[in-house]
Amino acid sequence: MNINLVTFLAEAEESSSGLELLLPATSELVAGIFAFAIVFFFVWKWALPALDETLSARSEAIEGQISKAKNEKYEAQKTREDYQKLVANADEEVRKIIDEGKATAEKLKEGIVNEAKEEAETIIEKARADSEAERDRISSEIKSEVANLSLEISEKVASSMSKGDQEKLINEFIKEMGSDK
Amino acid sequence: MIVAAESCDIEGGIVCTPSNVNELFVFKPIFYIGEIGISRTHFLIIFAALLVVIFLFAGLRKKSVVPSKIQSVVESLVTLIREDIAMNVIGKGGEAYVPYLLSLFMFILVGNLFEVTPLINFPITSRIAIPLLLSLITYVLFLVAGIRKQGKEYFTHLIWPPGLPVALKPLVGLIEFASTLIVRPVSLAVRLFANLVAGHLMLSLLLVSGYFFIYQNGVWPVPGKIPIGVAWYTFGLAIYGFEIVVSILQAYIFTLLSAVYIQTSLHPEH
Amino acid sequence: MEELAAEVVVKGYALIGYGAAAIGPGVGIGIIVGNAVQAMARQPEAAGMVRTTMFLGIAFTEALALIGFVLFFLV
Repeated sequence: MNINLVTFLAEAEESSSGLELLLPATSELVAGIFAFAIVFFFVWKWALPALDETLSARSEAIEGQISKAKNEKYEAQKTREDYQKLVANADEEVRKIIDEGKATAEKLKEGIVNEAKEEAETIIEKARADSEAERDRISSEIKSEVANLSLEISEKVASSMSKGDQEKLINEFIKEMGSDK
Repeated sequence: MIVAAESCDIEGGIVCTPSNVNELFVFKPIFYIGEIGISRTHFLIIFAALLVVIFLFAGLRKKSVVPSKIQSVVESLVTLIREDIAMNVIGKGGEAYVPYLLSLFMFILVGNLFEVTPLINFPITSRIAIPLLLSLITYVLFLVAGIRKQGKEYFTHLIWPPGLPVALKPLVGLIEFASTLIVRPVSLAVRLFANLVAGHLMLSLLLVSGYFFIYQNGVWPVPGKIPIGVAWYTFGLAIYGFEIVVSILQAYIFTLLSAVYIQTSLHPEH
Repeated sequence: MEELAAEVVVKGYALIGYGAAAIGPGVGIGIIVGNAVQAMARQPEAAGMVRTTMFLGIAFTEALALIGFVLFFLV
């Protein structure tokens, strides 16, 4: 231990004390001034202007991109609106067509129904007229038949009857016929 | 340290003690210009400046819109100085000091990181010349800024803040005078210097003593000593990581304090 | 030899002095960082400002310890 201390202190005696650590060496001061001057002038004259240039270029580029994007967005919106308009128009048109179709169909339907009704009516009318005519024809036929029959009968009866009875009978018969009709 | 290691005599029972702290901080001159010895330190100082220049040049050479890796690092560093220090701390008029603050920060940062750079392992800021020089530049800068901004009133404001009772003037005047004109530059320089000296001392003592415990200068040691050496070495590596943080932090603090001093000269009301 | 012994004693005192000088700043830095952490936890949005102020406070306080460290080399 003692030997250590002695060597330590002897060496300390030889070299300068710790104070030297706290005193600036002139040569290092000069080197430091030189070095710091290099750094300072480089930063001042080149680095910061270069950086500013880069930053402004970047912000310009970003702004350009933003405005481009805005434009694109605007265009896209416009296109979309156009399409929406188109689609809306198409809807309307479809509706119109459908409406028209419906109207036409309605009209057609009405026409057809009316025609059918008319036809039916005419047919019915005709049929009625026909049947009327037939009836008339038949009734007149029957009448004539009856007349003939009655004539025949009356001739047969009349031959066997008195004149008074004949007349009476004819009158009755005619009456009956009249009510029959 | 290595010199001390060679001089120590293990067989004689002499423990390897560095004869003096200077041995860790002063290198033998490589050649002489006249009387002045030029050592490794001088080359490292110039090398630090060149490294800063190369780094910034590499980061800012290509002015591409989408930044590359090194470019974004440089840009974030400049943003840190410009926004966080110049704009936030100095405020109005801070833009003019950005070049100084940036070069200050970069130079100190590189100088500090030399401490933990393999093969260099020597912080140039642990030589008092560098911190002292930079702190003197800051000192002159904030004095000049104050005089230019406020004229002769700067010194009265400096010593007696506005709105001070008369009775307190002598006491406050003395304290403020000492704190602003003497303590500020000294503490600014000493803070950086002492941090790096302490860091370098700790690192070299821990790592080298670990080395000696394990290997002991070519003589294989008693096996029982090896765990001690490993423990020292591990502890030294932990301190190594800590020193990286300290290096960055000290560069930041030096720049921040320079900005604060300039700010007090420009805006005395705060 | 006696001179050397005297210097050893002086070195010892200087070491004690440095140790004493480190107590106050140590406590101070602890208080500063503790309160800064509290402030950051209470108002995370003010963390940036608090951090800057914390570093400033640490730097000022630490200076005392570092001056002690440097004075150790001076004797």
